[in-house]
Amino acid sequence: MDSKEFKPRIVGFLCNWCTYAAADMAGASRKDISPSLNVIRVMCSSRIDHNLLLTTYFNGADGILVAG
Amino acid sequence: MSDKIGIYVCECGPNISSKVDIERILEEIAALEDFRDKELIVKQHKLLCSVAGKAFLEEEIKANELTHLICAACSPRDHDSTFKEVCKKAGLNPYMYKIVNIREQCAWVISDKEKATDKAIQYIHAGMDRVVYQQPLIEKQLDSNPDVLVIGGGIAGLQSALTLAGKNRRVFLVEKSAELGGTSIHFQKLLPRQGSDTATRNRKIKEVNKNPYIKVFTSTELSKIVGFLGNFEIVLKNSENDSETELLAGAVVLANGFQQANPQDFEGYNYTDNDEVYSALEIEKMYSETNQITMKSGELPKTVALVHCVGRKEVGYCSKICCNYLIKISDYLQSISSDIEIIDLFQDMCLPEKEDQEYYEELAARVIHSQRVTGTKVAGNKLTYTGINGRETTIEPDMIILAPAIIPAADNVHFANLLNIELHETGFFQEAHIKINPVSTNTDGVFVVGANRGACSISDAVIQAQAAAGKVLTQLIPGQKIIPEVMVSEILEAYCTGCQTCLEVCAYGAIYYDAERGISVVNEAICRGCGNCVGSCPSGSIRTRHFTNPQLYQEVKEALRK
Ligand SMILES: Cc1cc2nc3c(=O)[nH]c(=O)nc-3n(C[C@H](O)[C@H](O)[C@H](O)COP(=O)(O)OP(=O)(O)OC[C@H]3O[C@@H](n4cnc5c(N)ncnc54)[C@H](O)[C@@H]3O)c2cc1C
Ligand code: SF4
Ligand code: SF4
Ligand code: SF4
Repeated sequence: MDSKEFKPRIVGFLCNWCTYAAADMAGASRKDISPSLNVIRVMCSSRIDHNLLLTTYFNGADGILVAG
Repeated sequence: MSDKIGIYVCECGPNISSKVDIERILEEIAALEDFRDKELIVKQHKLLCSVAGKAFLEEEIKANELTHLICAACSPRDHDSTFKEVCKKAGLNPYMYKIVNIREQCAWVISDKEKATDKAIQYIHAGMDRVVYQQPLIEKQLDSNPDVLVIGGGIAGLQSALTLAGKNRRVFLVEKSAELGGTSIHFQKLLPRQGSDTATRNRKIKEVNKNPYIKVFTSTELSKIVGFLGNFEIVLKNSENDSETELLAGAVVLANGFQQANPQDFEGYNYTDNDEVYSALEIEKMYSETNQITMKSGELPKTVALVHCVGRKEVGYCSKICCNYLIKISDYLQSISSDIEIIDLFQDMCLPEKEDQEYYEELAARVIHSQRVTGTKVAGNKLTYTGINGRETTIEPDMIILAPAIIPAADNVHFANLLNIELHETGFFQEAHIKINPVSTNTDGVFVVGANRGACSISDAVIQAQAAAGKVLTQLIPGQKIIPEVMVSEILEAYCTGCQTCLEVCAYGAIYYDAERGISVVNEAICRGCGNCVGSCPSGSIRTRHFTNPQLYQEVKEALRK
């Protein structure tokens, strides 16, 4: 494998009640999900504030998914 | 080195074990020897959620005196609570454990076993980093208050109060007007199928007034309420002397009734106070006060037109009771004088109860001239109707009686905000579930009964009142403790400037301003721990327990390490 291949690092903040449940369903239906996605569960997507977004970028994320 | 983290990887039968390399996980995690100066215990199990698995975990926690626990298994939505219970049994605070989802998020979605294993290790590592930042949280037990606040002293409110008091429940019955009874107090007779004696209804008022468990507040309204099932803090305000009463109750039954639409609000109904046009409610009042139905001149009318469905098209629903009460009004008229000619202009005939049809047919055969129409207009004393053949006819009866649509009470919006319950698009209250949970709302401990959830008859109102009382009696049991969620927000007093920005964003109304201390405070029993307020605070003084910044930052950091 080409070591220079771009492997994006994506952080997905998923709401416990909706999108996290959807991700579970994706798992149960054996959908293919890229290992680039790093899921972090929150109790509501409204918990995601600018501090958390910036911290995530500062730690090297290439993209952030806030889903709720 | 006193801290010990136990990391238990679940095979989940073949679900996890066939898709990730558990051996490698154990090796690589165990190799993190001096992880934050903590001792690591890394093991696997066939099925952690099974009876044997739970016993194994419990034993491991106790024997190793674990201070932190990681279960690398399935989704927290499946078994988070299972493992929390194990922690409790083993004497470990359940908030010192974390489930890491290596099934739905690794084994099942990454087909390459190597990559799935890498991912699992990464998630477990992130979980370990987070768990060391977790703090023990203590669940509190709150006493619940079994008393009930009933709002509205119409038939629905009276019946709710009586049913609850029948089981020795203390009830605070709040009525806005000066008297109990509601709309139906004005009816001389009730629909004949309900018996024509009003004594039954008046007896209910008497029973309420003398019941030692019911405290009646007339000329009073609800001015403030905060809380949740088992624990509502209430402020009532008396409109005569502005005095306030504070009380506590565990549940709220809302029975604030309905209003009758003003026909003039609908196109085609134009008349003045001097014309011989009346709403049905005006006729009910006139008849109960004077025992007569007369024109403004004091004379009896010779011809009376009854107009159904006034505003039905505009409001978009059938008001269910008006066909019935117009028949009752025909009955009034013919008992006053059998010479009165009754012209009944209906669009649809809604006779829902088993006795209705027979009664209607009996009266129709003798006194009512019924005619199906497709539309009606009123201009002064003139009434124009469109027959089913499309032809318009104008008549000038001595008296016109309208059945205007039943519409939501004006303060439904106010109550929806105050009690955090939903309104249907018509403006009536929205039930938790129209079919299977019809008197509950989306707020636990708040019930809606009677005509505030849609037009209804007295017997419907009574049935609903009894249903809600039954709900309260089974959900709110004296002596029962309430354990509120502990993963909620708190405001750090030292940082809070009292700007009250957070009050605006909380959808549950969980934050209040403490003017004395000049800070905002979270009512932990109402807070759902969503964390919406956290980002709104300009001084960073809000913390959502178990989802604090350090905890989430650690998880983020580790997720992005590789
Ligand atoms: C013309 C007419 C004739 C009818 N005839 C019959 C009949 O013969 N038989 C029959 O079964 N049904 C009849 N009905 C229907 C009947 O009126 C209703 O079923 C019944 O009144 C519903 O009772 P309720 O307690 O829900 O509401 P209501 O009777 O409207 O009572 C609501 C009470 O709540 C109080 N309230 C309102 N807002 C507040 C507040 N903010 N705080 C505190 N208190 C408040 C009001 O003052 C009132 O006392 C008739 C209706 C009409 C319009
Ligand atoms: S109950 Fe009768 S009068 Fe009232 S809206 Fe329905 S059909 Fe029309
Ligand atoms: S937003 Fe922050 S500073 Fe302002 S009142 Fe709320 S907690 Fe206090
Ligand atoms: S966490 Fe959510 S529910 Fe709790 S106070 Fe903040 S905004 Fe309100």
